Amino acid sequence: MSNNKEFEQEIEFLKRTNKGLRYSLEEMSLFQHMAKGISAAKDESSIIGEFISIIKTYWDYKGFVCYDLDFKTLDFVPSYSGVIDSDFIYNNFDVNPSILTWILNEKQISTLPAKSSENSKLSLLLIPLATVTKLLGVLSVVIEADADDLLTMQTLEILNLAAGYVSTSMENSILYGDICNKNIHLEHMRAFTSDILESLNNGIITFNMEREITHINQNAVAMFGITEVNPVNQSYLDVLPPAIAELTHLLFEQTVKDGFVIDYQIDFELSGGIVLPYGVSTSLLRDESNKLLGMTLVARDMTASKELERLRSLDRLKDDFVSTVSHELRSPLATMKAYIDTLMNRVEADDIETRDMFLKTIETEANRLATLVENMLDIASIESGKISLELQYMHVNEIIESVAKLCQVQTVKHKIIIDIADNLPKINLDKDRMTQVMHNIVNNAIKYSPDGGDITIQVKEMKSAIYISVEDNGLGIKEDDLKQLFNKFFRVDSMKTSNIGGTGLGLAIVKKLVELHGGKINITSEYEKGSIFTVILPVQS
Amino acid sequence: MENEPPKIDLKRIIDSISGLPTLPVVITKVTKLMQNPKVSAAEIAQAISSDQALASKILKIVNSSFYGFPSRIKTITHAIVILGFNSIKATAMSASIFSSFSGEDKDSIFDMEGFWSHSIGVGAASKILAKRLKMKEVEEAFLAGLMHDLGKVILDQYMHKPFSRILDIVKTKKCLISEAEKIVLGGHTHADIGALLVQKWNLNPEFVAIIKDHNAPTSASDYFKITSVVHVADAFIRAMDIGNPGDDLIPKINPGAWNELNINPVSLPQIFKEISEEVKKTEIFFKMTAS
Amino acid sequence: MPEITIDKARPGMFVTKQVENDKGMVLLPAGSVLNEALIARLTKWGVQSVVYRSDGEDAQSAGTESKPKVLDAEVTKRLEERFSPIIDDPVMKTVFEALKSFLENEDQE
Repeated sequence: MSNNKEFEQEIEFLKRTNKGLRYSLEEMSLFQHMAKGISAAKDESSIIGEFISIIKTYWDYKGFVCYDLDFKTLDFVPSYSGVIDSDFIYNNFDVNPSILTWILNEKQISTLPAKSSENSKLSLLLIPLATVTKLLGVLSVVIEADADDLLTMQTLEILNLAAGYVSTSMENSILYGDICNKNIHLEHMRAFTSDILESLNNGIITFNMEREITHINQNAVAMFGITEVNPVNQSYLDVLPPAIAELTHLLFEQTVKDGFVIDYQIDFELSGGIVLPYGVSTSLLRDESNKLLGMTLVARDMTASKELERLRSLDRLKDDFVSTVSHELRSPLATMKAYIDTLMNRVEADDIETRDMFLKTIETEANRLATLVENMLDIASIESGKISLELQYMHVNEIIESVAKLCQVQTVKHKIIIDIADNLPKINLDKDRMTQVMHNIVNNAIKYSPDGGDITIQVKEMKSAIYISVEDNGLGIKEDDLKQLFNKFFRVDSMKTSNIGGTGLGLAIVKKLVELHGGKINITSEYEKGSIFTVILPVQS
Repeated sequence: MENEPPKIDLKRIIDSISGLPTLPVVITKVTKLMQNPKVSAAEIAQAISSDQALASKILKIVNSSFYGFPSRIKTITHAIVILGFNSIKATAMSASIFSSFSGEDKDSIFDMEGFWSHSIGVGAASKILAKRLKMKEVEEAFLAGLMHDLGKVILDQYMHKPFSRILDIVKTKKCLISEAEKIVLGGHTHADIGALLVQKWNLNPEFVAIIKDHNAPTSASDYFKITSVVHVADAFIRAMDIGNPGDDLIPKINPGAWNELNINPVSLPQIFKEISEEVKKTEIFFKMTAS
Repeated sequence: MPEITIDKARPGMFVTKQVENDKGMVLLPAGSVLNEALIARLTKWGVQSVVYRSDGEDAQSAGTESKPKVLDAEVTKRLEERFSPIIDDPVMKTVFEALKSFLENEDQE
């Protein structure tokens, strides 16, 4: 009949297991609820408090002492305690620093039985507090119970889990505490906060003197493409991409020396090949006693910055200028050279006809060059403010008439019509410069009416100003181009205009010169219909 | 005709062997007890204590540098609460396996001492790697490493003739022992034999899988990661010239397994150092030979 | 100033000279106290040695200078022999290099 007995025992055991497993589920959810309490707790003592309340569910709790690991001396120092103190623990249990060290190194929860048999009802729970990167300390809890009986596999599991939560929460709270009260002066805190508020679009990283990241905002994570899930407390070398790490290294040195760095420009390549210009600024962090705490780094995305745009467009212009000018210079030079070569080597000495033709071409090109150089010099002097007008009190009529005559001579296809009002007042003009202005405008009118037509120059007085308008029926100007017309080196780019020569400097010079006279220049135009350029010059009283 | 691969039904052969070592009753009991998450330390200790020889071996091991606990552990119960349930279960199993197999066999043609040295080494290395990779199953890794080559012992003690032919081939061809085994055993190796044995013992399917696949880990397995650990540990221990696995070669590490572990090459020298130190700690197991 | 190889570094050691990587980037400023995490990080970054000053027990080993790394010829030969059939495999090559480095350091103990 012993078989029956074994059988019964088996059944009993299975029943127990079943019951045990069912309880497990319930306890797991209870645990989860409690664990939330741990994670939500913000400071060391409340974290431990939450943890102790979990322990109280399972055992008869007698007290605790939390030992913090001192990094410098590697000693265990009692920090928080409840009900009992460190002496109580040392008196009742065979515990020593090497055991605590072992617990921490193995990251294993252990129980020590009481030393003497009087207190054999007491047990000491030793819980290691450590995160992935840091060893924090050991939490020792005294419970009244014969732990041998009450410590089950499951409770160990739960304790291990809870201990893990505790460690992480502790570390978070230490950080939080640092930032809130302990190490950063309130002033810095306010400045720091307002910086944050202001720089909502900027990336902010703070480092301690060991160059570990103590704070990093989401923008920085995005701006630098940081993949590390938990960058706080890690070395900048482990978290930042190599280019930024190098920059940080550089800036750290400089910041310690100078106290700050402003807008250090770097181009940062994000994944996907996008390159963004960043302006990086740093400043030192100090505490009340002026001790160095670390460095703050602020990264500004400068693509949105208008200033940069301007710099960029100027750069572009300069590039354009260099390429345009080189082209424009090279072209006549090349032509001249070609003709001169041929003239010297191929053309017969007595072939006067060919010789004359060649020489004429050479002369034209030379003139082109000269004009270009003139224009460039002009612009340069105007820009640098070196130009000054030689003003004469005169009628504008002279200028108009002479320009019209000059231009008419150069074109057969076009008819230049002058319409000057009577009794126009004299005004102060620089004769040569204004001639240059009008010549340029009328010339443009001719150039951009390739099919010929009328060019009407009208001069009248209105609202104490002289209005000089030049109207053509040529190609006209697109609205988009209108905005840029007066920009240096701007040339309308289209099939129809591609073979019209010019440097793009003319109108820029014109505008400048008109403005020097205290005047303005306007354009109205309709694409493919024509344009009207109006120069408005003030009449002085 | 040695060129013809003999058709071999390995399972039938293993099943037919009489006197094949079994796991002590205690181990089976402890495993069962631990299925109940509410089982207490005292209950487990009681079960273990029914086998006095095993209990004293366990106490020797827990007090050795293997665990390095800086204080004397006096009872099995204390051992369980201080070191943990899993540790004690693994220790009990290791001690049992050693006792079952390490007896002096006069017919043995195999370097048993070298074999155990290698096995313990792989156990230690697996433990170190599992720890480094922050895996939960550190004890399991140790056990699996310890047991991974048990098939060779079966061959030596229960399949003498084929085994001596295998060793001859290793000598002449200078190949890996698995290669020689495949020739003689129709494509099977000690890994298959070990897996069958451990299956007979009703051990966790994890162990069956690891032992079976340790030479060629496959990502199709549920236990790919821990198998890779033992696989790499085996290669490391061979490279470190610890013990005698039956041949003198270092196999190429399976690239899939290597990637799975994702070890930073910079930390390799340190890993070797830790393995070397851990191996020294496991020498206590030699004192566990059948006494 | 005692200098030790990184594998001999222990928590609690006080670093007296700033630790740089081979690019000259400062990994650890002078005056830092080593702990587990720092030592692991330095190792990860391939730091070979640190200059330190200890406040106590390690003072005895302060006298030892790092000996030149020369492995026993026998050991080297055997290692190279055993690895030669597989050295073309990149993983095994890495293992070989690491093992050699470990053995060289072990030799000095």
